[in-house]
Amino acid sequence: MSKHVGRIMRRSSAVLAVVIGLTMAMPAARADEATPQTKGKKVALMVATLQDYYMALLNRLVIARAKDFGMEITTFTTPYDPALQSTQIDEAIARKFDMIVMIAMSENAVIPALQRAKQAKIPVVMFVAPPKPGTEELFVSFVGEDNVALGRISGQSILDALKASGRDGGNVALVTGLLAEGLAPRRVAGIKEVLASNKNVKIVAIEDAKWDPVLTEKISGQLYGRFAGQGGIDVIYGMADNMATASIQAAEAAGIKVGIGPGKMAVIGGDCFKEGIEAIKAGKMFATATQIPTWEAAKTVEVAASYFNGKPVSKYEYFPLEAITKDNLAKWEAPCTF
Amino acid sequence: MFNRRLLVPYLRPSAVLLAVILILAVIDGSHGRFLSSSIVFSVLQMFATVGPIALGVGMTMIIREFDLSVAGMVGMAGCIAVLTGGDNPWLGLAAAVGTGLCTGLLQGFIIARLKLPSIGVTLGGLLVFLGVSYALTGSRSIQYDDLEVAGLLGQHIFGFFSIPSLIILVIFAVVALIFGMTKLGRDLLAVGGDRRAALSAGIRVDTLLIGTFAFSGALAAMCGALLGYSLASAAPTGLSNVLVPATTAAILGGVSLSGGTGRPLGIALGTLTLSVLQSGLNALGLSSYAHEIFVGLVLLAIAILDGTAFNARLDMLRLALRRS
Repeated sequence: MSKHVGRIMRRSSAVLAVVIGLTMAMPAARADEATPQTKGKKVALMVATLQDYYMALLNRLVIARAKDFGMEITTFTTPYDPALQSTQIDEAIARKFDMIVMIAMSENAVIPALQRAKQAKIPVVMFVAPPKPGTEELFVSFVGEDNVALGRISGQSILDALKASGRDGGNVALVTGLLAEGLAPRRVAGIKEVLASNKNVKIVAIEDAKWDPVLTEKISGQLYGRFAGQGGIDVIYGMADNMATASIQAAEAAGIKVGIGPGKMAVIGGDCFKEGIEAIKAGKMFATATQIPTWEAAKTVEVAASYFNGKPVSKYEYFPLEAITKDNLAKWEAPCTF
Repeated sequence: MFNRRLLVPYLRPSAVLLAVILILAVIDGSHGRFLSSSIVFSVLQMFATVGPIALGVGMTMIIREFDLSVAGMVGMAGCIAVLTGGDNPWLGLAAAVGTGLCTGLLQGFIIARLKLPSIGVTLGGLLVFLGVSYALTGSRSIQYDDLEVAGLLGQHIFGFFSIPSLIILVIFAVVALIFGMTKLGRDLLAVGGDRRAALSAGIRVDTLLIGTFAFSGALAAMCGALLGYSLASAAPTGLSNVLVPATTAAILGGVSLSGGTGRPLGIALGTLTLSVLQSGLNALGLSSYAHEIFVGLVLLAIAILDGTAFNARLDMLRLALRRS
């Protein structure tokens, strides 16, 4: 009897774990949530090129969630071209879409087009890429992460990694996404803010790898060579997990040991990708941080639906943020696998 | 009496444009997404962005050279215009176009007088302009505070036009007239067709070469400045990917990389084709990779049609048909 109970309980726990994982990984299957206000609404979805896996995933998830509300999505894509996106907004205005849902290719360059959308009384919901502060009157809501706070979390992970390695301070290198504007400079600001609390921690390099893992690998290799004669790098931060794993590859090619402990270089990632989770499991990466596309897509559509239904929406819909380490890996493995 | 031969250079670009419109209309069916008035403004806005670069690069291709530096100039000129035109946009525009003209002159001078390949020289120019843009902006995207200028440039004029698209259309018209009605057009084609023969015929090849690069630089700078003002911002990497679309537009317009062929009006038709494709596929809800595949196939078809082996076979076929 107890054996059976034990087996059933083990099975139940396994099923429960899968259910919890799936619940976190994707919006639960929902009944038709369409209302007369949302049904048939024409929404222009503007994202970057679908050759980018993350963009393709967001596009797919937004379309799927919008179906629950009976909204019709038309996707406009651009190869990260702000001028083209501006033209697309004009086209959406001319075609009288009921709403524009967009990832802005440039927080500055999108402003004139947002003004034209406002004049045409077409509401805009922005997601993932943060809008320029002070332009709040031009959009209904922003759905995404507070990137300064995300930077603070990564900064704390860097300090934790140094401490776990038995060091009070050290050389830190940041390999980032596009620094010209957008979320990358905000995250760097958050990291700097936290690292300033320990005078022995020195940011020796901030390198713009433009979200490109191949460029990241090259830059990381150059950084290891540059600082080899100056005590080496104690912690390297890759702003997205596929960048952090590229830094790991470059370190292994240069014969540098990665991990936590004396003589090892700690690696911190971001944006929790599957490869980041695997690297944490393998002990090669110390931490990453949350950014879950399933949440971003579902919440964006829900905000749009709330707007159509006349419900109040917050100007900034931020997601809860958390550092992911080996201690809480089980909780985040499913949401970060996409 | 009207000379029909004058139309020959425009037959292929016109046929390609019509074919593209037809194919997109068929794909759209009765949905009315493609054949709508809203698409015309969108097409002309894209025309205004790609057109000046296509014209400049196309002219350098006609003389069998190539101006790679335009990709860097668009970004740098945008930064110069936004940084210097804070109080007076005309001043920023003049500073940007002046810079484009001077650097174009310099590049042309180096190419002509030192007898250097234009690809190498303009690649150097591209990297220098990119570096200067990063230095000017501190590697950041910068904002142009006068949003009224952006509003003015984005306004619809007569329903379909905007100030930038009208400017570019006028430039194309003026250049096409000069090219077609003066000795300059023939001289440029001669320089691209056979440089030695052009020299023997007394054509001032170096002057034309320097002038063409100056023209290309000035147009790229104007495009960058207008883009900067339209989007109320500038970024060191530029705000639009221009080089590949511009080169594609020039080739679609009948310009050959081997020089000696092409007309400004053909380049305008090529740019229009590319703009129709981009806006049309967007209107149909197709992704950017569909656009790339479509343009790639059209370019492949043109390359095959231009190929000497293909033309030789075609001649043989014609001969065989006549004999039979």
